[in-house]
Amino acid sequence: MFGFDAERDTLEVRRRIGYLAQDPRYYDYMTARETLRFTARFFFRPGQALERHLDETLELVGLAGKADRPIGGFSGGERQRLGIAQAQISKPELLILDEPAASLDPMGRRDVLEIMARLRSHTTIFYSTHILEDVQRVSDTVAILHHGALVAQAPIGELLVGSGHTTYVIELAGSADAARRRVAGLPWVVQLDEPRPGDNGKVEWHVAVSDDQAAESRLLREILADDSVRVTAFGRRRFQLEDVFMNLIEGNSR
Amino acid sequence: MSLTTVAARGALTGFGNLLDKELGSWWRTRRWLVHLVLWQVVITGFILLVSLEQRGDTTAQRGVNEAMQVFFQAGGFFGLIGAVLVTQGAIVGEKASGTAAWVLTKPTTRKSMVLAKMAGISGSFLTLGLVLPAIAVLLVCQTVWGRTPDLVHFSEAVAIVGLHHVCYIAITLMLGAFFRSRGPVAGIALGFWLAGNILPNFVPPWLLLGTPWLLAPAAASIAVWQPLAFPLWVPMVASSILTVVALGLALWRFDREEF
Repeated sequence: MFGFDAERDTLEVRRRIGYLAQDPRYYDYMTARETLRFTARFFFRPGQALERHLDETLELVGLAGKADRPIGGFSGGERQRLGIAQAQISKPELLILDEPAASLDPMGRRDVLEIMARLRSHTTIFYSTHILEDVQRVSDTVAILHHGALVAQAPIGELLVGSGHTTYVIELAGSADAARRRVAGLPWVVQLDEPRPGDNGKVEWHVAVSDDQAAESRLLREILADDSVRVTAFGRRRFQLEDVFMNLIEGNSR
Repeated sequence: MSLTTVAARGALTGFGNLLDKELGSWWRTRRWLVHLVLWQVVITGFILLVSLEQRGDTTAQRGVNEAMQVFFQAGGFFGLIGAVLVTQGAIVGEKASGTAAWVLTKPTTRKSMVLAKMAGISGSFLTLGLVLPAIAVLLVCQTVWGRTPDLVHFSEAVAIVGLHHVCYIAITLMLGAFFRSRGPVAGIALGFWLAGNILPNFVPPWLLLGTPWLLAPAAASIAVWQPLAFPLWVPMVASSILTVVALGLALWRFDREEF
């Protein structure tokens, strides 16, 4: 790592990385500030600059108001925020977080993700999680592992667009049979699915197209050419990471 | 003003910070107060009661000698129990709670961790469980009997008991590195002390010279100017070697610990 042998040059490697375990444990008799000071002094000399750095870090993770309370009484979310603070106190080149938001309530998760979003501009964050919604919110690049094997690795934007055709999701009201026949017959429409009936007699179409420009300029017009149908919603389908994940895993299992 | 980076120092990287943390667990919490009160009550309080009981029945010199016997024999015994109890969880507790694994993600070494514990516990415990009670006992002697023992001999005796306690702290740390629960750690350390009380009846006396078992009785004799039946340097050197060996084994085992 960083050009060092991780075993032989372990101290050099540990100087450059910050690590947060899934279930981090600290000395409960210490306060948050003491915990960070103890951690920071493995890297920096004591003094005013260090104390200022501790204050800034406590502010960053939202623990400034609880800095001098023993951490034995901290909630799970507060412990996790302290965990991130101690992991990044050395301003590491790489921050490794193991399930940083697991077992937290929604507020705790939101706080942790916000801190991660703030830190990503300063350092590379490498983290593992099973919460795909979190991945989608704060990740630049995603690697998907299945049974220990790498199934996919790509920037999040690429994964969410998907590797197939662009798909439009359209919600219609009224009599849509004629419009459906016409749209399905267009040369650049690859597939037209009606996955489930919509509410109040509405229907939802998933239209996969091979020519995105043609679809942008003509798809809506082709549908509205029929007066008996009304379009109540129209847009490109945005894949959720969960969809991508399931497709990849199921494809990999077959 | 900007942050100044700490330079790496090989095998002892992080030692100063870890020692500060160990000392902080004694002196920046209420632990020091608990131990101060405990040892003053158990050791000094006991000697004060014995001295007050004897006052009027014996001479001042005998009273002081009696106080010295009680301090180094009973104090040595209670101090030993205390040394084992405060050390038993030092490594085992950190292995079980996960704090050792956390600390070792930082740029420090396992050697630093064990040596910081040894230094921190020895320094703190000897101060609270031996040196301060020793000063208090001198005050009791001066107050009750109007005199104190010879300070040079008394200091020598205190140093010998200190070596005795340090030896048991090292043995207990070593056991902590080998075992995963407090039971066997405290059990074996106290069993070793118990063996020192039973074995003299069954083994030749020269065999005991190579152990720390003779140190507490020797300290009591030195404090009251009584001649020793054996050369003191032998158990002192043997105990020092035992301390170093126990510490070496603790370092060796902790280096191979999987977290």
